[in-house]
Amino acid sequence: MNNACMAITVPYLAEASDWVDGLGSTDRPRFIRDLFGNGSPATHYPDSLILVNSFAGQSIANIRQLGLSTSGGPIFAFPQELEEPAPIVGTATGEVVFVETSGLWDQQVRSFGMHFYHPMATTKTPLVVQSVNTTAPSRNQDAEKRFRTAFQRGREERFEDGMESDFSNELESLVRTYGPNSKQILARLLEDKSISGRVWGEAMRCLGRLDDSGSYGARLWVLEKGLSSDSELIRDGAALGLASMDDLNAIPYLERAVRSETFGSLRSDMQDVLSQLTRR
Amino acid sequence: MPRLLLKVRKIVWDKSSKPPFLPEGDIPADCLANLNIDKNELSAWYVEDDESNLKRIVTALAASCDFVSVFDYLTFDDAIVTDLGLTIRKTDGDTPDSVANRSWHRDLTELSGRRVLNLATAIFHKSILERVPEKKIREWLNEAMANGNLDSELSPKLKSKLSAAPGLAAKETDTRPQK
Repeated sequence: MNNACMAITVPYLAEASDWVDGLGSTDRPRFIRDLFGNGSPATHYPDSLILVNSFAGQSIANIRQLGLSTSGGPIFAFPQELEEPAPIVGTATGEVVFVETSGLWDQQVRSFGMHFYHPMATTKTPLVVQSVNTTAPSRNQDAEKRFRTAFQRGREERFEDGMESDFSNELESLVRTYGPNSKQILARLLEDKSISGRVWGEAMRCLGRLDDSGSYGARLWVLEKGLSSDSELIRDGAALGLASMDDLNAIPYLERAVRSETFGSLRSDMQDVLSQLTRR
Repeated sequence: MPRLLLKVRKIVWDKSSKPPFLPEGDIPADCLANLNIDKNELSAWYVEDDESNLKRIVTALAASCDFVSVFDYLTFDDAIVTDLGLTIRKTDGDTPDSVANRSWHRDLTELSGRRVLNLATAIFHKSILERVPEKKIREWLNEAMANGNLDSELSPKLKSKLSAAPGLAAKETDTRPQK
């Protein structure tokens, strides 16, 4: 087995059985050679092996027959049928073999240190999208460029509450595509002062009302972060986004924001959102 | 005194967030961009003295949207319009509420750049800003549909949002097995 360290952030749609305490642990991640006779797509995380296919049972048998180990970690299977691909990005510094199946993989990575980007099938029933961060997060420059371009184009638009815009549609599409990976990208863009506060205000509203369980945690985090922005446009948008999400976890962040807000009217609006949450 | 209502973004018109570089009496340029002027005209809504039609106007405008959202607006004394020598005409609105459309819609017409600046400056200093929260808008829309106030079709997207759980976006489902 290959014990090379690597950094990978991989979004996938998980089943209830998938959750493992210790995913993203500090154990050294390992890659194993995937030699499943039936060609099931798979990816490997520290302490667990996730199989995404409809032949999970046979794949598990093959693994055991080959004497392969997942370092004592459990194996989880998704018995659902495969559906549309979702992006998976990362940098591999080990030998990874993906066996093509049903045309789901468009390349096989066999070399060390190769940056790869390829589609990965997802289960039919999206429940919780998990991002497994093993050592350091992998920065998807293409994804970040797409987000950044959307924000730059947004400057040309006029926004109105209750109305979709090209920017909001594009942002929604990007967040759905990149799921939890959106968090890191949006966090970096939030720190970028060259990005319009007006566009960010619209983004915050959009993030709050988006109906997408896969990116929920990422969006909540970005909205909570937005409450402490230097821009009142962003703070206002963040408060409105949190009002849309109606999540009690935002209460401490709103309490802090209310205490520190210097604009009286905005403080009052934040207090209203806080009241909405605390009245639930 | 009767007032006129404009749908705006509250934070843009908020006097407490005036940039420090603004000279006395001046207004943020963003206010001008926030006015939805089309063909040199600005759509406004007439609010009765006792504000008895205010809720219905806001609801009608919200019903014209793509999704349920917070509703920010400002109201100002309609004397501002006449004092500035602006032209105001009673025209039909374009919301799903035909009563509101017929009764309370106005157009401020023949707007020049200078007139818009003068209007925006007067409004900035003399208007009342309000925000109706998203949850309240959702209630009002449901009420209006039940009362039959909305006599033309809402957008399919808005309809589907109204039938979803009130005031909530997607919730994360924690599917972790309990130990």
